[in-house]
Amino acid sequence: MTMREQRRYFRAFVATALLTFAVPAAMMTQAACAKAPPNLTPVGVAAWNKLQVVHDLDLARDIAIAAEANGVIKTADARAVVTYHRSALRTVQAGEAGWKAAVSTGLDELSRDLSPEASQKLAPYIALLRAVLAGISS
Amino acid sequence: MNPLLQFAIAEVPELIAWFKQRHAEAHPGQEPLTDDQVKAMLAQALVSSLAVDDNWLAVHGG
Repeated sequence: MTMREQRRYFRAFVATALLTFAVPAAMMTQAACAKAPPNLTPVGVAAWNKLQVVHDLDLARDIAIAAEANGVIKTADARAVVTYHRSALRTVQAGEAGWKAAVSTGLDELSRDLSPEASQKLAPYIALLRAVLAGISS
Repeated sequence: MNPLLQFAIAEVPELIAWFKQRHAEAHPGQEPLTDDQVKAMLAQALVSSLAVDDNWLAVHGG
């Protein structure tokens, strides 16, 4: 095995380890800590909640992109995640009533569209996104 | 009421004020976010994140 191949395997190993353990833990902590500042009005709290959802969606998207770059998931799976992410952000941006349900429904569709391997690897992120969406009021 | 408990309750506002003061000293210049600031942060986050999606999809055939 050449040095270059060894390096590639090592990067794939580190990416898989991060994907499986470290990042979901960080994401869970972030979701748990991201309470809206008490001085905000309901309008500000709604914007704050959307911002938290955007951050968590970004994290899942960034993981999918990094995993694809390191050969951990296929390009088609990363494309499905990025396409869902873009659609979810546009839904949040439109700010219409029911945006949360629309983002959740899209997440269900994404889960069905992913290959079994990618679905297994990205399952913690999808579960955490569901938890974050379920935990916010608007 | 237990005098100790009464004393503790009476001291709570002062304790909170002391913690707030210490926090302000430890984090100078950090004012609480306003509604407008949060809305601006959200708008900025949406624009920059959508740009990442568009760029990635442009390269990877989305």
